[in-house]
Amino acid sequence: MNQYATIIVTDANKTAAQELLGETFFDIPLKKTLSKYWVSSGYFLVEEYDAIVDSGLAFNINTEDSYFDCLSELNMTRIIKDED
Amino acid sequence: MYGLGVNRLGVTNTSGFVPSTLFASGEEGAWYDPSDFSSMFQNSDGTGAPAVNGPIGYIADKSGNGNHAIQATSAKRPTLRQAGSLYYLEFFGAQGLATSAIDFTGTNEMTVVSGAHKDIDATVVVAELSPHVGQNDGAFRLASVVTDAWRYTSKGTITINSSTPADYAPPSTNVLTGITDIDGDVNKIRVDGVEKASSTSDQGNGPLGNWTLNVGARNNATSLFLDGRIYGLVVRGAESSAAEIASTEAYMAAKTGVTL
Repeated sequence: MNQYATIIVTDANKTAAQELLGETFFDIPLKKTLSKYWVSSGYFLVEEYDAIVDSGLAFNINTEDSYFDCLSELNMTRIIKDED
Repeated sequence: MYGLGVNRLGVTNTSGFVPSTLFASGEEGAWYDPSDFSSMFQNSDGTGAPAVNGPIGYIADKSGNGNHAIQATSAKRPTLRQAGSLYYLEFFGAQGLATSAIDFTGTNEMTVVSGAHKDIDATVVVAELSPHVGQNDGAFRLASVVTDAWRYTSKGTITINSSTPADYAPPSTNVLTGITDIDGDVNKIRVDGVEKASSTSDQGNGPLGNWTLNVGARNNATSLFLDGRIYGLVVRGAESSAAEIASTEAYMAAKTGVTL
């Protein structure tokens, strides 16, 4: 079973969240003013979704909106490395 | 019935051409077909029947080379979508698939054909051989680039780009073809069956490399995320003939809903 969600954690909670789900989660950086956040967006396994919800580590959990709509609502932008 | 001569198993189209014939002489490469439900699974270990509007963590290589593309991280798996008779993998800005290393060291040539759609104007990956084409020899990348263009990059030891004119503002759905011959200094990009840009600049020395193939993002979904769709992808370690390119593009156009 899967649960679609966009889940954002603060920079302070990134390590704990990755220890919970794995280091390939929450590896996409976001910013809002001077604060940095990390996001995973897509189909989580239900046990992964429940674990992060129960942990209280998430800054924001959105199961309704698209990834970009979610970021827009939170006034967050992706940090895109200058790469080609 | 699925129209356009395309069936749900993705085996035939109106021309009868099947991309697996491109690999009949032992060419290295891969062919991914999201319309073939028997080639996909929800999980990266090859379990979980695929479902429309569900994640795809494993798509089998139908070229016969065994270069299956997977995504082990659940939230980075693309979504299988259906639009009428067409099927595609949707990447919405945080997903990607990757293979194990594919050994292209036996060739200096490459032909890449994809049916792709982009929803945003950004530099994002459709397909990239190696974790970073600019940093690795013997690599290629088929990508969207700003502003409103598609680009094919290939590299022996020198990176060469061919970018289309800015004619492809999102949303844009196209059949994209990239062609490389490192020795012959060939780098071309075709869109919807027409050559749009080329370069004969020196690409340095071959061969192509033994690298992972990344689909929908760079380096196993760590950056340059596609916000769009992939209807199919054929990666062939050879420079296809004009007839082979025409057949492959016609096949991909039928899968993508594009009129050439």
